[in-house]
Amino acid sequence: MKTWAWQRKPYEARVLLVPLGATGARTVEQFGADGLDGVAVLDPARADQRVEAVRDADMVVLVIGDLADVDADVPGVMGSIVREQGKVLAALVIDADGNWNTPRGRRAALEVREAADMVVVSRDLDLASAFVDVLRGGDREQTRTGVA
Amino acid sequence: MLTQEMNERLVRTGPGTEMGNLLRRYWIPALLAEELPEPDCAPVRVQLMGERLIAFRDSLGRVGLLDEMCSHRTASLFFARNEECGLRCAYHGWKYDIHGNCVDMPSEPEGSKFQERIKHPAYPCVERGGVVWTYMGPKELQPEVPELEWAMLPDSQVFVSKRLQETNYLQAMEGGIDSSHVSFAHRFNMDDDPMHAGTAGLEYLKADTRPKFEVVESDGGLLIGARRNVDDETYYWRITQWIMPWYTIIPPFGTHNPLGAHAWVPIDDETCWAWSINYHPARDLREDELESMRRGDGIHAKYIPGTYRTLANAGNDYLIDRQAQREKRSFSGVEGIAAQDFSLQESMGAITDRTKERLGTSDAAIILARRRLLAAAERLGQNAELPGVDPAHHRVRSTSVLLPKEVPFQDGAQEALVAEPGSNFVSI
Repeated sequence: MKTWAWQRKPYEARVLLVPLGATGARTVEQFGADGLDGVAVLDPARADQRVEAVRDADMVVLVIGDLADVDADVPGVMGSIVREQGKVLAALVIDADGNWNTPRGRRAALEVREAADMVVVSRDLDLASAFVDVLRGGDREQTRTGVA
Repeated sequence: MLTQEMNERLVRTGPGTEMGNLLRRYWIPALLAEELPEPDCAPVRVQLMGERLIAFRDSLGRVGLLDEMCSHRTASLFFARNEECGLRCAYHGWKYDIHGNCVDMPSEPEGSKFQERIKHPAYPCVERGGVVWTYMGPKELQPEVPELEWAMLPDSQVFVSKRLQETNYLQAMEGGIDSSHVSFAHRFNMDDDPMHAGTAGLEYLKADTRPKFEVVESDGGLLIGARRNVDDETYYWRITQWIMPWYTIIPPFGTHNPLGAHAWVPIDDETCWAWSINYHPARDLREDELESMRRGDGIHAKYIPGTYRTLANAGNDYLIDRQAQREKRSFSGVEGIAAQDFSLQESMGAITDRTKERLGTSDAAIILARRRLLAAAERLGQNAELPGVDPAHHRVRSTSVLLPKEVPFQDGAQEALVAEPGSNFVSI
């Protein structure tokens, strides 16, 4: 899960994960450690790569651990890029508490839900990882290499 | 999508299957109390999760649920005599009480103690909310009786119906948590339902036909929020409750209309009972409302008389009216909200091939519900508490509310999502 280059499998969507904040980055790392594959990751700090990365994706998922930890401008920027390209933007918050009630958290929450087509709040990493796995789809038994 | 292996794990509910073991850990809506109208009335066949059972009401008014086949020569107890606090097999006269004890064995010699060694399979039953509930799991793990709000109300405040659906239970239940279908399958009929009438909520719903969805894990299942724009600062939220393993509560329209709820219970792997419930926690249902529900309006369905089979069914293409479809009186051409749902769900086949589906973000609730069911099944051997077993998980409501945009719906609607006995619900 180092770049946004995919090895596609039949019926597989190209899912681009965008971790927001340090906790989001740790969550995405954990997804990889737990065996989630076939998805790509964009470093949100690399503003120069955003448009190109979204162009190659079918679906973009913002991954958030702690809302107070999120740069509140990023969801809106990603939302605009995704909308312009006619793609789908989901947001995955892995923490039922999520710091919704801190001023930074509330602002980030507002930006996230304004930008995303769908928000999922999960209490545990397994369920969140399974959600991404289903969004990606694809028959894991039939790897079809060479198809971007 | 799911792998074939995961699909099989989710849909098979017979004895000894993974999902069957999970579902047997919950109380199960088995039959309508009215199907056993009086003591010593005729016994009724009941099939649940592939098990053929017989229900009867004994001379004291207590309900028993026994294996259908007599322990002696396996004749059906449907033909039994219901008399003097027991069900007596018509073949050789063996008689069972509601606990499955063999209390008479007239075919054996007088003084024989053989009957004491016979324990016919029987499941405990309770009556609540016009429904006979049973528990089919290990006795030592029997949980408290469900406290869903509709089940705790006086009879005058609740109306319950059931209908046979020719699909696996999961397929039917997924329809209940698939909020995005409302804007299509029911598009031209939202005004028809008397339970929607005269509410601001219906106007918000029609004004913004592209809702966005948020799904949040709850203690007992999921909260599924659909939000629509009202103005620059406010969202209109419709929040559905999914309670493990098969209950939903539909977001209401206004507080003057009753709430709606469902349960989907496997008969076998290819059919299920679709239970539909209307209730009002703060008042009796009116006669005009009851008349409409009995007629099969709203979430209820019209029956073939004398049965729980629906009048519109696969055999008659659900009475599809192409003219109504052309004239935009019905989006699908099928009449009635319930029939619009089950016609499409049944069209997918009795057990849909989930390896072929392609789920998107609007299907998040379906994805998460499947995963929660599988996760609970995997934890069965670990003595972990199951979501949806604790009665506290049942004491919840759905709601429809206006909230400031920056407020998370699960926080802003927190009080409205709890069922306080005697209090009215929150809805616009």
